[in-house]
Amino acid sequence: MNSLDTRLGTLRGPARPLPHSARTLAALTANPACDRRSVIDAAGIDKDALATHLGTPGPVRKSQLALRFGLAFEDRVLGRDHAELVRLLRETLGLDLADVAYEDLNRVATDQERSTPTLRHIRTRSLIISAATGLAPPRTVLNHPVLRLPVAGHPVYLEPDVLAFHHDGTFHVVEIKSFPVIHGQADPVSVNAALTQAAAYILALRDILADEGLSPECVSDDIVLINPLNFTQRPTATRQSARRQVNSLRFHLDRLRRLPELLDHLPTGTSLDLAPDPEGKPTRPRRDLAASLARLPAHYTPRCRHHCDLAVYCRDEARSRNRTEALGTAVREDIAGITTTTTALALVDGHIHPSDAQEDITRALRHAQRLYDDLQAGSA
Amino acid sequence: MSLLASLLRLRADASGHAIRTSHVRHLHLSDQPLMMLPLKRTGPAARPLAVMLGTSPLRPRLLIAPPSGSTATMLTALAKAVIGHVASHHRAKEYLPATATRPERARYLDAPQLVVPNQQAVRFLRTLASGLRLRRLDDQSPSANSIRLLGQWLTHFTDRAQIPGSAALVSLTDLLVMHWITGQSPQDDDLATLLAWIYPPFGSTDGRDAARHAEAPDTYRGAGPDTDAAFDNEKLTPLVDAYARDPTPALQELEKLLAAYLQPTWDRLWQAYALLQAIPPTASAGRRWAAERAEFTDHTTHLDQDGRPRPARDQAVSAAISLERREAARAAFNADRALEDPFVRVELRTTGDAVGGTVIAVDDQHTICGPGGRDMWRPRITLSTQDPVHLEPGRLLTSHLHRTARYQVRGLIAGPVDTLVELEITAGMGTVDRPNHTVLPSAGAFLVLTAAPEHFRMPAFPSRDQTPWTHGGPPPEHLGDGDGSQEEQ
Ligand code: SF4
Repeated sequence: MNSLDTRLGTLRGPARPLPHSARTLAALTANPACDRRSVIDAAGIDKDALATHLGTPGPVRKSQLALRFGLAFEDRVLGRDHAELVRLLRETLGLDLADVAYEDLNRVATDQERSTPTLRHIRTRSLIISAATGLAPPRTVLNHPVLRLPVAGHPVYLEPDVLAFHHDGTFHVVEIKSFPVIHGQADPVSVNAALTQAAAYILALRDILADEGLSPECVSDDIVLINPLNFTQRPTATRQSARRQVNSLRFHLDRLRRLPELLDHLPTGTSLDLAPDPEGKPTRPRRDLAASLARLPAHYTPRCRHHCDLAVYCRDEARSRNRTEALGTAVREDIAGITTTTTALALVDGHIHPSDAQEDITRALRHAQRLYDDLQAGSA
Repeated sequence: MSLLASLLRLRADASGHAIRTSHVRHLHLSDQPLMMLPLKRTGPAARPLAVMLGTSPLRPRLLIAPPSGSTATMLTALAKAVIGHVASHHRAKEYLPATATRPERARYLDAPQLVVPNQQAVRFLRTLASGLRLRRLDDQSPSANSIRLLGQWLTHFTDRAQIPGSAALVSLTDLLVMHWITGQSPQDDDLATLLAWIYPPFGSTDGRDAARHAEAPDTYRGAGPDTDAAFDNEKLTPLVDAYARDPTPALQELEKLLAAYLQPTWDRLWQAYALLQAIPPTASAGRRWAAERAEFTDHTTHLDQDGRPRPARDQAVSAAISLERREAARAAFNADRALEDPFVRVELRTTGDAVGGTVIAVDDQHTICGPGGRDMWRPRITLSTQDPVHLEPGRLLTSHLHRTARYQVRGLIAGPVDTLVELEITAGMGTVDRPNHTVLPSAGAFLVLTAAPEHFRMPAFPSRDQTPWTHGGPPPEHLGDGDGSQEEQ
């Protein structure tokens, strides 16, 4: 265990660490400026448990109905001996393809239990290497591969619900998503989320190849995205470039190297341990926990609620400190450099003097206030 | 968003009370709109779960779709309700005489209006419409025909909703935020929290407190069309399973559940409607509604005479044309808003797109050399302003007091506090002998000028006969798309 791990472990307490997933990595690119989140995720702390204990649970994220719909769709794609899958790969990648070899890594385990991620990763790895070196059949689909990506010096195992398709020396990530493509158009937000997740898998695949001295270029930036067509459950596939998302994720992963530095700034004794009793009920005093959390600088934006369990907590915290970020990005950008409502209004009302940097914005705000007052007085 | 809007948001945050912005309504609201509160089934692209609808707050109708199997019965009932509302406007017509550019036309005296909670509902209806209008074209049964006709009408409403200034399909949340600013982020502004800020219920100390209460997980109710995951897991999933075992009682349960789930939002919709209805509409809202009546008349004629549904996807040409129409409508709508709404003018002054200032110099003898060498009278004035003007020379401005007046920006001289704006008056000033003093003021007067739309009389809503979208019908590759679509999900 390296010292970074020890320090993150201290922060987390005795609870088992939650692994990073493609979802948490995607969140990293969604709000890269948030140190609070980077540290908490790196330490594998359960944000949902944290938020719940603090009395600000986030919304339930997974709908059973959505999950069922997704599973039914996946069955449809992979069922009947992957007939649909083969058709879609053939059409999308322009291959002359009659059949593919198929490996499901979930079936690696011989014992009752599913084998550990480490074992399955080793198996994934060897399959990928043998495909890349021409030992495996020339067209192979790997389902449920277990990938590994170093994040801030840690190996993170990703168990994506994706396929890696290898043909003639090239790998493509294949994602099955249950949002529809209607008359040739899919919801751009969902597509971007899918591509951001795929970016993590692309990087992890490249990592395996690079480790073996093989060319990471073999993993294409393009992915195959499979969705329901129009109003049916018939699958359709499109080829999408994830290049932008790959670059952005790589950039943010590099930034995570700052973790030790962030931890250096934490006073000793900072801990997010919930101190569960034998029944698993948290016993940590809330006030105490909130104080520790407050030492990790947050960067709240109203978009946090789409990707972070702490969103309600961080919004309340921002509000209670009169911070402008709770009011949205427009306000924050309009009065850049002024961080609280109290200061902004004190400047407008002339209760405090603007610093040099605040002079322009103060003048503009006072002007806006004057116009509004005139309007109220009926003279604008 | 403007700096003024941001400032007012800060004020609302500090005071805990929503702040009133605009005091005039830019969209027509019908006396009897068809209020629609749709819910979507989680998962499939556009499978409705339920729709609560009606033209009065009391006794709404609730149509529900069974958890699995065909939605045809529900859609037929929905078709009946929507088409019935549409048909109730197919009554008296007025006749407009021919003009230089158009032949004589007839126009219905009123048009139907749909009102929904938010943009997401508009989007859901649009997706639903595109599935329904092309659905099973080989099935000619009365029920299939009425479902397709529902698709065509919903297409009409949702297409119109993309035109800025159109009131055929109104999202109440969007209309509310044109009139109030809250102390929370725009992303947090949904129907429930907005109303709490604007109209805190009895017993809450202020808007913030009320919004906080409205958001509490056990009381919160989203305005749809998506149901939240907790509701799906705790309430809907068990009923979906029960339905698979024994449909009849489960369906009754589902109806009870959804009626109770939707009722608070239904009440809020009418509360929001009443608040907005009380705001006086602008003159141009009436003009745009007259154009809307013409659109409605044209669409009716199209359905009667041709009746082919709009293809699944616009062809390039018609897509470009609709984009251009939308941009023209946006420009015209923005210009109207600036001319009719003092709050909008003030907002534009804080962004530098309009200017208000005192006339400090007048050159009422200024002439330029016109075509043919004749002198043309072009008086000039200089305004002194503290507004952060961003108006490049050559820009044409106008005044809400005299809308045909045109002031051309000649130059700006920025001083330490004030900016001087030199303007040449190019239209509306009258003649040298009889100048119009509203347009050509004397020194000391205060003027507010906003950007003049490029073509002020640009038809925001060109008549349908100039647009080719009525042609095409479904392209062959989409013919089968609707086939069994809803059933399968
Ligand atoms: S909710 Fe809080 S912790 Fe999560 S990303 Fe936003 S600011 Fe960071």
